[in-house]
Amino acid sequence: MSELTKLTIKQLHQGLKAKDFSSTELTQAFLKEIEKKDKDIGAFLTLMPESALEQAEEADRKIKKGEIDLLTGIPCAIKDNIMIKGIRCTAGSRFLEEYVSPYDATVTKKLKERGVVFLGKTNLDEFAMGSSCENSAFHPTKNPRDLSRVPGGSSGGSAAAVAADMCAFALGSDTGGSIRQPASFCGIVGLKPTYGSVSRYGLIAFASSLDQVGPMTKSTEDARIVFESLRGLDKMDSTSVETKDTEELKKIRIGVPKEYFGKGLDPEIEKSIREAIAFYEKQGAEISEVSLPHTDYALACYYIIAPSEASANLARFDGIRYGKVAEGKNLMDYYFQNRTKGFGREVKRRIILGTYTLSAGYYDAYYKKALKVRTLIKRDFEKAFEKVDVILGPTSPCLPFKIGEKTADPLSMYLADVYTVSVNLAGLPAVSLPCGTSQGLPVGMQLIAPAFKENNLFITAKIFEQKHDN
Amino acid sequence: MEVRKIAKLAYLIVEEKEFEKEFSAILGYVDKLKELDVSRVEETANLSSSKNVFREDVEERKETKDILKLMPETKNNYLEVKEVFFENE
Repeated sequence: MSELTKLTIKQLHQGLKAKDFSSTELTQAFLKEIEKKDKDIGAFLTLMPESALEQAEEADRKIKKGEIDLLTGIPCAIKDNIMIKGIRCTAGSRFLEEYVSPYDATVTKKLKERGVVFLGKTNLDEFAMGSSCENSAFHPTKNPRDLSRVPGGSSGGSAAAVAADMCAFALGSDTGGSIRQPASFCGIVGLKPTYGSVSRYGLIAFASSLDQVGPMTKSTEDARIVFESLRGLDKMDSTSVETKDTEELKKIRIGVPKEYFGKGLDPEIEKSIREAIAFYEKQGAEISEVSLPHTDYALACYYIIAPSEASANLARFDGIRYGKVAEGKNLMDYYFQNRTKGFGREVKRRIILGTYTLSAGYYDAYYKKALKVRTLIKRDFEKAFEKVDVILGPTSPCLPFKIGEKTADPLSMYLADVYTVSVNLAGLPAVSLPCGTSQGLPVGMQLIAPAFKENNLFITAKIFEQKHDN
Repeated sequence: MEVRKIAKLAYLIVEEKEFEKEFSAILGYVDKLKELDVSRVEETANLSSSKNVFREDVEERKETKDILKLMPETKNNYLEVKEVFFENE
């Protein structure tokens, strides 16, 4: 039965529909994989075997009656900053160690309506702040392709769970690359949808002008299936909008930004990406060089805006409403003790940084300036997309690094996000998909599309996936 | 950057010298934005195109009890907090 866990959603759906196996058998197979592998990988923070089997039985009843949807009975994992009612939701933080979700996130509710099975909640960098999963307050997650290396972050638990066949798909969240970079490091597909296309209600907020929820899957077709079940207007997230599919592309025009191939890019990764470009050219795509002149400023812009918003969003964690970790002599002391003990180092670092960039006297020089640079970054993409349908480049400048390699130098960790953050600043959709290996480690290619044109990504990615021999 | 002073604004206690080296590296890096002249560029604070979104002023949420259960201290269905006013020791 272990082969079942390797299949895509599409293949599993066909098997369930044909009654080759039941959702209960499938769920048991995944739970077995988790039992076998997760003690070494550490992808999960909470497992839900009992409710998963109940959901599977319910799915089997529906299937028996012929009520089968693409996601009915498919087992998945959810990043632990997205709420499932009645289940603990920690966001990887000591602060929320005992926090039980009082309601469902909209994405969870939508998946429940489709009849999915929830296997458990996955590990992340605390409050989704990090690129390696090492900032989890509980334990680090290891990369299933090489256990001495990080799975990427912050959705590292979700990426590892999908890569190690411990679930059929997972949900992640992406503020500066947190779906795409771990997808790249673990050799799976990760989609960050357009800002506004998927509701964030029930996602624990990190930086609200950047956060998006998206799927992490074994194929781009699966990413499309999950994305289509998540998207849409939600009155509980006023930034969400209703979207429609865009038309098919007759001839795909691919732009390659010259700024994405500068210093800092691992030559082995560059080689894989160049090969992918050559492959697309052979397939008849029109390849042209484009320029995103403010690329070099995107990371600096991001590391002002994201901490600024985080410092405001995380002010709510004061030991009063969401659980406490310390006592205090009086109210003020209670705040200080709880926040100092409740947050880990990286979270404190970002709160302090954001408090500084928003403080009187520095607001104009840092925050306001970053908002203006953000406009320039957005315009760069708008200009590039006048000529092309998708932009292609590497997802990460480096291969999955060793556990502990970058923890002493936070700036070097931030640099791993250099190709992903500008997409969040501009609110665009982007996907990371596997495009080969180097030294046995996965290399990810990033495709970026104009806002609400996720379809361009799916069409372009599918060509590579179907015809390219990895 | 006076780390301890800023941390205090965020209700965080930090040790002497804690974070100082890291912040000087990070702020040194983000200072590259100074190279850009943005005097004529407008700001992008939010990408959402939505204007004010209103709803009827009626009770919709049903989770109040569950939410109260999560709070460390409650009394008569109210959130209980430590005293705000106290005499200085």
